[in-house]
Amino acid sequence: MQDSQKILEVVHLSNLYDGKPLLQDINFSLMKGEILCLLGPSGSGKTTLLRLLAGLEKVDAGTILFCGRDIRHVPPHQRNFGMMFQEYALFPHKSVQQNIAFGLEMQHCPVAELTSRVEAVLTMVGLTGLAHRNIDELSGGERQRVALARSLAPEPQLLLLDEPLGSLDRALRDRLTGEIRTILKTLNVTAVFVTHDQAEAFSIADKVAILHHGILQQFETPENLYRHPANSTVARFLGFHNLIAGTITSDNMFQSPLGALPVKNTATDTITRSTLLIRPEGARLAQSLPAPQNALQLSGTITDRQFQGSTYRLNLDVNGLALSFDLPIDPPPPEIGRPIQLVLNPSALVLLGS
Amino acid sequence: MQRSNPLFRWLLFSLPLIFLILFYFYPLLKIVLLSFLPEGSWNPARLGSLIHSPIYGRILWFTCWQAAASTLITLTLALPGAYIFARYRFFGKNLLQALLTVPFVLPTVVTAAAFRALLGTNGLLNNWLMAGFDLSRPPINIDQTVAFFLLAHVFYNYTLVVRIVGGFWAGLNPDLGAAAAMLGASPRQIFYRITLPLLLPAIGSAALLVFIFCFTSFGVVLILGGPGYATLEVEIYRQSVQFFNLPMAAALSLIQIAVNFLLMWLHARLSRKSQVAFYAESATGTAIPLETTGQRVFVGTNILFMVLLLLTPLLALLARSVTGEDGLTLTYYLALFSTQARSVFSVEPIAAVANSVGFALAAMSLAVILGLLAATFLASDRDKTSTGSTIWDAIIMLPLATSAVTLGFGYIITLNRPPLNLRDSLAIVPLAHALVAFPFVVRCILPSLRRIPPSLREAAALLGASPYQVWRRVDIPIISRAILVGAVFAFSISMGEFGASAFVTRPHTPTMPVAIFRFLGQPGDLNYGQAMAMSSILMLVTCSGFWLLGRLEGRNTSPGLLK
Repeated sequence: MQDSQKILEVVHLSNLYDGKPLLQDINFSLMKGEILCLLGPSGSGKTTLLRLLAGLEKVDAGTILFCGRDIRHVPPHQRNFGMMFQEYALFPHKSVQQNIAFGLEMQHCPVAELTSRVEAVLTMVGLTGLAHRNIDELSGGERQRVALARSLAPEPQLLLLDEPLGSLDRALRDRLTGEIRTILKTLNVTAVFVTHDQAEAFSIADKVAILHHGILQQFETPENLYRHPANSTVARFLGFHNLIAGTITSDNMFQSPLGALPVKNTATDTITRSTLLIRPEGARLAQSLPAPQNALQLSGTITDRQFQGSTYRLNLDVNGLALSFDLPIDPPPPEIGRPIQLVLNPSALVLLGS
Repeated sequence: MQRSNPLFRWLLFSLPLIFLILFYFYPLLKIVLLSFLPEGSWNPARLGSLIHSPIYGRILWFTCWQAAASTLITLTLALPGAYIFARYRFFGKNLLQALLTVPFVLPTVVTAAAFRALLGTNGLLNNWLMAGFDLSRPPINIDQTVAFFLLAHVFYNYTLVVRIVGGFWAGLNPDLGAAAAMLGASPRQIFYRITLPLLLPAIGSAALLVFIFCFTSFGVVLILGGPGYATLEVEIYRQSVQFFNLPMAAALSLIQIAVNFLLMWLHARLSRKSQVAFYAESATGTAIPLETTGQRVFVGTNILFMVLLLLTPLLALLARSVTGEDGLTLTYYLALFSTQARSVFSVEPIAAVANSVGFALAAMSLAVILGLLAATFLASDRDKTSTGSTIWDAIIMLPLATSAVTLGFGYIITLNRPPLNLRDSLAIVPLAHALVAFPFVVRCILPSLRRIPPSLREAAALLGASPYQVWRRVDIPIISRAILVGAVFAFSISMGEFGASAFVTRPHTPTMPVAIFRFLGQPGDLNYGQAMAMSSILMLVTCSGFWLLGRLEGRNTSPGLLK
């Protein structure tokens, strides 16, 4: 039953450019109606992966199955996938209406239906009344909506979005991110969304795939990804700084300059080298809480203190290690140079894979 | 300069303005007056009778017809070339691109001589065929036919179409095609519904330019077409220089001026709409390597055609200049140094080289000084879209829309009597050449001058630089390369200029193109050979100028003209 819902499967996919591997052995699958974000720094191969799905690049090894069918040899114009390009790629010689109608014309859609469909998608993206504008008369946000409308009009089986918000300013981005998710969910469109922006990925995606140097590092829901980064590459990309190298002893203790900390889920009973992540939001001032039994405590000196609105960002020196934490603004933490005692939430400690 | 004192701006501009009034508007006005007032009194009936004469209609029809035919043939042959440059990466592409600039910098007279050397009655190919197949008469007889100068027009303009359309094509966002494919368009539909509509303005712009160049074609038609054919330009020359029928020449010039202005105005509008640069930067970022055999054959055929069309006439010219009746010889080059009884000059022909270089240096200096002043004037108006700025820009560009022949004709009817008698002055040739080169120099310098951000000058001023020091130490160093490019252009234009020179050159001080023309017009193998030798020298001089420019500009060998 589960398998029949899988709409897209990527199996052992690899791609070379000028002999160098751009993508290595990528495997994942996507359910109908899910939104997947391909997240990674520039050069990680995320756009290449998207273009492979679109059929705009040639597959060197591996398979792409769509609804169980191998689509490697289906040319892009016969796939019925939609794509939103980075700079939108709107046809400059066509009006808004003509741009949106293009895909329907290719499907030989009757004129009456075409007109009403264009009207409907224009309304959906909030551009009613702009049908006869020229592309160069539109603002950045309007262009983005036209591009979305154009890719949705032919009712694609899969929508591919290549950094569609990349060139917009922050405020507009945040608003459009929410709007895009609402529209995609309303239409129940399966979508793959490329971005390098973690906040954007988390707010839009059902699943996030982290790509780094052409290797799929982790494929997870946004929440699980944040709670349990698979390895230090993913952790660093997500912006975590408190990565501590140490060893795990047989009694499930993590030995490091911080001392011995109890950790869960270690299947090994030999001493292994490992990395511990302490998430920045997992600490509180020791005196602000009645210290629970066996609470994990850290003490150090404050080296920097930045007020950030909803939190204080503290940089600490703990036994020679530089750590940083986000603390609530009440009670205010001590001044720079003062000693500090913190209590750690056990769930904020994550043992990373190698 | 920054706070652009209006008085100072106009002081800067006064020199170019006086130059334009004296050496452009005055001669042109005189042509118009001569058309309407042939005997010093208002007599439009005379003009009417000239226009209604059968010669007039026939010449106009032939001029249009041959220009249209040249344009069509050139487009047909060059569009595939534009496609391969835009689309594919292949071995030797950069070299080929450099080769493509050669026809553009080649003086018309040299082109004509080169085609004579290859396909003329006593050209290389005929000589070989006669020797090889033991023929008594040359088998190729296109000397003095329409086909001959149409071929030369294709040679000239092929490059232009490949550069304009190819550059525009390469610059098209490849995502547009991908977007259309994702929306279900097949490769064929992508071409007809996306690529072609987007290319049309560039193709139209290139076609119009080719038409303008062929409409005003002079040297090539005069030399390759022979006495049987005449475009407007050729007829103006014949009517004025051979028949001394000045009113007829003026009436012909009038229509030439009108048509040229109209065409250039159309071109300016079209290229503003499509933003097609005259010399588009060639983008190679989106080019793909050759994969299938079909692609290889297609690209290979086109490259072969380019090499045959562009290179063989030039090689034939060099070969013919050192091939006499008895094989390899330097006779023709040596003959340039002597005054012989059979020679058509009263001085050694080699003196033409010295004349040309001297005139070119003078014309270059004048054009660069005036061009720099005019460009500074235009750039100091911050708002480059203001009406005043647009109008002055258009006025400065007007000489570009006027044929050199019309100009030369205007000079001989105005500058040969007081108040401005330059009939026997050596200055008249460099003045004419400077006027032709002046708009090019402005077009080279103005964009770089406009690209300098005002904050740079403001920073220099706050650091204590006076307006002069700002100009001298900020502006000039930044635009020095553009000035150099403009100077090389001006020098080369002057070296190869033939249309105006044919009118204003004095018999005892010929320029190289005029000397070549005279040699080609005389019978005898020695004259023919000397034409080949002098053409070869002129070709090497102009090409080395641009080669030097290419070296100075680094990898980019195309001068950024009219960007």
